[in-house]
Amino acid sequence: MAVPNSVSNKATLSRNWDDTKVRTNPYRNLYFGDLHVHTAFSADAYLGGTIASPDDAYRFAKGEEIVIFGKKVKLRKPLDFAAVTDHSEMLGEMYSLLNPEAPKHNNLILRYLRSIRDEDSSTGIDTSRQRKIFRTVLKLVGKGKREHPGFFAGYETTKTAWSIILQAAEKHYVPGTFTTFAGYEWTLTGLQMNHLHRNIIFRDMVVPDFPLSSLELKNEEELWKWLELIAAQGATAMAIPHNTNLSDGGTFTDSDPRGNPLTPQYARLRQNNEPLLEIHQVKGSSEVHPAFWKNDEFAAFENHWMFMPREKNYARYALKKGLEYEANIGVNPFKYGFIGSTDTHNGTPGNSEEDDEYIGNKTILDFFPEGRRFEDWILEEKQKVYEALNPGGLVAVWAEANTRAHIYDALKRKETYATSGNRIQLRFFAGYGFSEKYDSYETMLADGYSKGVPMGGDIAVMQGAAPQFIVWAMKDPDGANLDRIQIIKGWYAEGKSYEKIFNCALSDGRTVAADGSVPDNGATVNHQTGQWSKDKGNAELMAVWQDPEFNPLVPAFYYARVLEVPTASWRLWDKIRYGIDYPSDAEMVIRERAWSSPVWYTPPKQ
Amino acid sequence: MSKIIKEPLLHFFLIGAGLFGVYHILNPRQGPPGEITVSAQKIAELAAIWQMQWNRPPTEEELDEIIRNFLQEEILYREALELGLDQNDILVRRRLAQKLQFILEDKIEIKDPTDEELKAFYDANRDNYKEPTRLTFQQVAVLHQPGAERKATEILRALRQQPWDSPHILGVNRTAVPEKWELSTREEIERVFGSGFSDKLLTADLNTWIGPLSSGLGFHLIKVEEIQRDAWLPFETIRSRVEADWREYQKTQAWNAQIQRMASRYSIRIEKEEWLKSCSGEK
Repeated sequence: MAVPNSVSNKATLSRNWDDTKVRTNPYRNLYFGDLHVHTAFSADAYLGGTIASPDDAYRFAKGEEIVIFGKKVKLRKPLDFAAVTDHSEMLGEMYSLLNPEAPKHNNLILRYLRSIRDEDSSTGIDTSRQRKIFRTVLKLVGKGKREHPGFFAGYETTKTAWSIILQAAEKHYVPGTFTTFAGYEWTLTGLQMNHLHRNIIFRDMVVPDFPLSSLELKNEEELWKWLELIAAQGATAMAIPHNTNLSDGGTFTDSDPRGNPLTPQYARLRQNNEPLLEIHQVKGSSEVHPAFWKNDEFAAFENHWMFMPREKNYARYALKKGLEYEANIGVNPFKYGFIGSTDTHNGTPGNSEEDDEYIGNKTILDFFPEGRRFEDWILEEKQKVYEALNPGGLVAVWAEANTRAHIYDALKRKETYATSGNRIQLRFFAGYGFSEKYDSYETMLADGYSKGVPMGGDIAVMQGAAPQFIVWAMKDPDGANLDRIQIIKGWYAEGKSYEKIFNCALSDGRTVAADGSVPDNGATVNHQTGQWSKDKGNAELMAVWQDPEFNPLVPAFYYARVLEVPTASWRLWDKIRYGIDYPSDAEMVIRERAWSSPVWYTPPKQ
Repeated sequence: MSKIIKEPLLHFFLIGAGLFGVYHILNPRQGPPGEITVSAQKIAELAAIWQMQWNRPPTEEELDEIIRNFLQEEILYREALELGLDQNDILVRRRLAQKLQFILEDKIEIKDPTDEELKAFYDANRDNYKEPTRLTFQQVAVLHQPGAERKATEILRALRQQPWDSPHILGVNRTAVPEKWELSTREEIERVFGSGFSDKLLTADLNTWIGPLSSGLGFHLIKVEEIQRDAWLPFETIRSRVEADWREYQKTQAWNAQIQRMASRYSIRIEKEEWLKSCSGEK
């Protein structure tokens, strides 16, 4: 790196905040947020027609109204925290493009790109021109060298863009009420267009002068090493991979970037810098895929089908593979907690409700019902239908208070879970000596924390005892009732990986049959009105569960999955409201859900 | 959206830029040559702008490029004027109007307000200076299950019969819906009970168990103990906010007067009725 880039405290407004005075709750409060948000500073968002600034994005997250594509939009319920994570690739170039005072602003290419705008059209975009430019750009993508283009005016522009993003985060941080993070997306894309992307989130405003992109840090190992380098200078940051479903096996790789088998050093570097995995967002779910998990009856959920589905792209594979590495090289490189987010490219964090009238998050591509049906609308290849998947998910965090430090630390210890966009509450503890049942929430929490570990933790080893698990979930008061809580176990024994799904808490008084099956509770969705059964399912579910097959010599992980009763997907809402026609096999009815971070059991070393 | 521009292949865009269509407008034209001087003062100005951006003076090479860019812009600007490209251009129109607006707005001077003026402004705009409504209440929940409403009605009867030290033990769920709520805002209440729930509490009689009220979670019995209705914030505590609003208001007033004055120099005719008539005629 020829250009000097030093770490310093860039706090402005937050210097005056004393967030140590915020009241804390040792049993932790639940906060919902979005850690994957693009604004006009992202080149793809701008080309999609987005002009929302980081400031707009934070205002939207706090429940204020903003305008996108000529339409006023507002969240039903504000978020508790958010991070703007624009692409670091082309960040300086985008500053030149957007700011009339910036160097290279009048560069021919940048002028050409700006020509998609037409302030007199209802959406602010000349869509026929945009389509043309889109197609030109898409043809070029993937053919170039990895370096800044000719219209890059130098790292000063990257610095200026970064400082605008930081200023917005500072302006909107209100300790105790709303938290913002400095962040960005490091967007490495492989030769096959596979996504190896990571979001970088900083704990405070001690950050580098500008973010390093995949043009400077050319593989994930270089990224982690840089994170360690800036950590030595006072910055605290983590990387969060996402869209592993589009990674063509590249995220949960068997070899390091030079093609060598993974070493303990590599695994440790990875584990230290990547505690979390974003498993749900607008481009689909990355937990499992029905093509590879045929025995998981709920695996079919907002999956990406068109783009290189491989078993190696999914979180459950990675968790199992991680146990295998732990057994063979002594360190688990894939010890991931779970979060969800939107990956909005409209500057609309938390815009994750299926039944909203402005549900799209992928710029103009899915802003209109027609576009949602044909993701490739812009390319006019209308045969690829129902590819626009869903409006994205949310990240839920159990933290002592709503401050940067408390939420970051909860992320770091993986006391987090992912939702498919709703606001289910979910608790998950693993330990010993729990009661068989709890009549009070407070007693349950007291036991959970004193006799066990919360989601994301390591289960203690207790000679001769099998661990117990507490799972508790409460529905989103504006959403559907809960159908069940499952615990998903994976383990590695005698050179092979296994997994099993246990139905631990069932609604409507149901029990598991002798063959392991669960009777249907008869909940339905009305295809004419979109209404779902309000009399099926429970508001709250809870269980204390013990693994009947526990083997103290075998490494294992466990995570909880909560399922709602069926509800209408955005496709069904579009069909009802706008008469959009879908083929019979399209996913019209879905089961919204939440996934806890796993807990791990590691047998004592022999 | 898949990553659209991730590579610098936008180099190739230079080809695309041919589409931009400026070239064939500017055929070489006849006529006496104009004169362009890039004065020392202009150069100083350009260098100063550059310095503001980069926190250092430009090198000589950079200065040459700045001058070259300026010159190119100047030539294009003059040619464009000559071609009449400023006419009927919505952006040029808007930009000029904005420019004058900024100049005029800067000229508006607002004197410092007296306490009386501010107080009067505060009194006239009290509704803008409100603390949100807050409620204190107790609640007992019966979450969704068969017979929940009937069960909730039975509990209501028991609650009304005698005072209870811990009324929530009557509830039938080990619920995580808190029993006691103190000075909570409507937003805080609706996060737990769902959208629209707080409306039902605002009309409740105080210190009386009411219900069953339905929410997204089930049924609730509620005793509202206190409602602090959107109380006005005392003037003293928000003086600076009032002053900022007052200045904004004065500025708007002065601006409207300014526009009125300018408008009085024109005789203005608006053919809206004619247009409306022509629209209805089209049907």
